[in-house]
Amino acid sequence: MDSFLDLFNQSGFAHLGWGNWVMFLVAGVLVFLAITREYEPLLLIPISFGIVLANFPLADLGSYGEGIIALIYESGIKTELLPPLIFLGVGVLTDFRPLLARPMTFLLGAAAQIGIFVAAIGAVYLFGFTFKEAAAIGIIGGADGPTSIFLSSKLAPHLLGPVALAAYSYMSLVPIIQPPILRMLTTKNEREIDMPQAKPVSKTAVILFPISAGVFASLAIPSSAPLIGMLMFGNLIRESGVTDRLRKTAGGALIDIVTIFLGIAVGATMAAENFLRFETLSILALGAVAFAFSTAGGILFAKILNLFLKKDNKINPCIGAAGVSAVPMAARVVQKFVSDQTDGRVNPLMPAMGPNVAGVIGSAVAAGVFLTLLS
Amino acid sequence: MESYGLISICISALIAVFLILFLLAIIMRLITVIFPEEDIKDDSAVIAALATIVNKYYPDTKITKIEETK
Repeated sequence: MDSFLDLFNQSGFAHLGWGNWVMFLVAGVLVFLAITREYEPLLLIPISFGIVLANFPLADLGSYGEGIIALIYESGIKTELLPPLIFLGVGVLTDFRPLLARPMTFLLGAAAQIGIFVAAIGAVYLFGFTFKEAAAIGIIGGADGPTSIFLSSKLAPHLLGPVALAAYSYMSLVPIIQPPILRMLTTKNEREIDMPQAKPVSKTAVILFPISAGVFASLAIPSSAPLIGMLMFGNLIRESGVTDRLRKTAGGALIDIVTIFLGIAVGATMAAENFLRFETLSILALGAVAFAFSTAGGILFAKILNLFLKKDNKINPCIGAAGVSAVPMAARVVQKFVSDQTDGRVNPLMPAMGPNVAGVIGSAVAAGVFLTLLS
Repeated sequence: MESYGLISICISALIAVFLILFLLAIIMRLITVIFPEEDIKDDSAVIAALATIVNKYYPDTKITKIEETK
């Protein structure tokens, strides 16, 4: 009997605290959302299971321990390896033609980063975070998971879990967050603006884009080179037309493997003692603020641009909301919103893809600037 | 670095993001102007398929150009 009791005392059941149960509940909610609502399932499932693993007492499966997941964390996230590899895959999967056909939409991608800075300022002056922590929190507004992980692992690794969770959760909640802001900031007439089909872009231009953008952005902000460089490398693989095997690997097996490692290692940072703090709630709140301001920034800047454009060239300001990245969900949300509001007459999916992919570049540049100024 | 003040860092970062994306937009505009898309020639297979159908109803009609309008 004593040996049985001894065995029980050394089991996880005997050491489960209320915090572990709360974290199991959090993981359960994420699994529920991922499966029933299909909210970012490829990431929320690994993240939520990572949360479960990290909260098994005595199992040493947290990212900050010494077990196998800590090995992934130490060698994949702390070394900055995994987020740039995700960007490589994203580059392969991204078609920049809608952006190249309307270069002006680059600016919408820039304007939709404003939430990053609003949230960062709020983090310091409302909640007392340090500058580095504030930058890591603010980048949630870039709506780009790998960029958030990349920046927080460098500037505030202790906040990696809540920041990544907020980034991916809000990305999955774009269909809920953006429509009320779109409705509030645009008029019926503005939603009716039907942008003409953009001119097709030549193959040469499509190939020159990743080379020139990668070189220019990496030279301008070297800290952003791991992200932008890999993004553009992936896109060159896609567009060159002669590297089909690399394209299939980087956009398929590789990004899937990296997503599994990244998701589970990020999830495993959320052991109860690291996650159940007041600062986590404030990070989630600031993330929502960042998303809302980024969405509003894109829409309002599109409206400002319209003041200077001729009647035939005006842009539908709703596409500015897609500048928050979250590719391609934000563009789809804009498309659905405008289509619903115009009884299907206006369908700006392709115009919205321009700022959408520009937002990916914009958030990576913003992360690079923060790294340069705060490291 | 904290001596910069977060607000000045944020303003600098926002300006940098705008500037870089603005310059990228200019670079891309130049590239698309220098290397424009050539007019796409009508696909002969599509012409043949359309001609077959059209000739059914309007014999001896010749299709020379296909144009898509919105």
